[in-house]
Amino acid sequence: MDLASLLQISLYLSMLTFYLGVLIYALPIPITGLKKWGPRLISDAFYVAALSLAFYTILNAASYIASALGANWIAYYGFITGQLTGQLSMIFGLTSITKLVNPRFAPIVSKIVSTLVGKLMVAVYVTTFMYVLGLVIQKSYAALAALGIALMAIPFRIARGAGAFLLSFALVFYVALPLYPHFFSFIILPPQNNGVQMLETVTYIGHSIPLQSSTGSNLVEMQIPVAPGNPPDPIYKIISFIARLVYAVVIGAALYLTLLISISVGLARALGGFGRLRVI
Amino acid sequence: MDLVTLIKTFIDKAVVISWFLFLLTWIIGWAIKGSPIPIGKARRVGQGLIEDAVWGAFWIAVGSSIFWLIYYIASLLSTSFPQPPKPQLPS
Repeated sequence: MDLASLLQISLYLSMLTFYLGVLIYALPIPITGLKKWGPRLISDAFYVAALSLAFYTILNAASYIASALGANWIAYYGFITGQLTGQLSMIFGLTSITKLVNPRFAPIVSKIVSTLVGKLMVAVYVTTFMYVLGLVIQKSYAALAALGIALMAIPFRIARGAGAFLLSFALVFYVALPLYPHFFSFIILPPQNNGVQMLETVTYIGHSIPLQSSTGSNLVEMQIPVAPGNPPDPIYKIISFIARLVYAVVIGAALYLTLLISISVGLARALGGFGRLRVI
Repeated sequence: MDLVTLIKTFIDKAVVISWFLFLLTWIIGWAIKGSPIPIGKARRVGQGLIEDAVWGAFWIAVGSSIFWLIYYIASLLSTSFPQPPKPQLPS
């Protein structure tokens, strides 16, 4: 079913709603509760007909607002794929370390590495989800919006709430999801390293771990700090960086999606007429 | 039968039933209003039925015109809407 069919169905459903409203108006049954549905259905029908006929205007308005706010899907995908590449590279690098390290320290290093890789995998899942969500929204936001209007057009307000949510979800995410890189850079990564210090309580180990290649030659020797307060070591820096990255990716995505869903719910209430901001 | 044809059939049936109901309600309303029952409430019910029937007939009559008007306004809006600005990436 294509977009035009969905819009046609919603238009005819709105007409059906209108004539059902008229039918209830003309019923010879003087029950106030029943009669109230007459004008209600008639106004619903006009509202949904206006929405379905002005569908492309609404989409143009959404594109206009998105462009005015600086939303760019190419930049969004670039940001997400950049994140994903970084995370996968880190996973690859960390798993390579276990093969390069001296066999004496292999168990402890592999334990640390597996923990870090596990955390990084969470970030990979979240980033992949954001990528897929972007693809779904960009490719099918018009279809989702049309489906929302078609659901709103079902007589007697059966699926009005769901339809209004679907419509507002499609519009809000189409406008605001490409702005995620801006949100990420402004909120999660403030300038001058004033970001969240999430790994202050890292466990320190008083050993030096010589990192060796498979041939046995020392590549680099890393000194792990023995007490808090010392200048950060390379391993501490790596662990701290990975932990911050994972928290930033997960919390950033969760915050942004929560924000967008909240806006969608508010818009759905306004469009569907369930809140105080009632359009019709 | 596809969905659009099914909905059109329902619309046609709803229109026909609405006209019949308008006539029926109008007749019942006048019958109640004109009946020799000295109860004010019954007469008010009759008056209400007549008003509802007339409103129903009005909406059936002007319904298609209002849908056309909505279509006209929507098409006007869609043609008058400006093109969105091109996003400028920071250099």
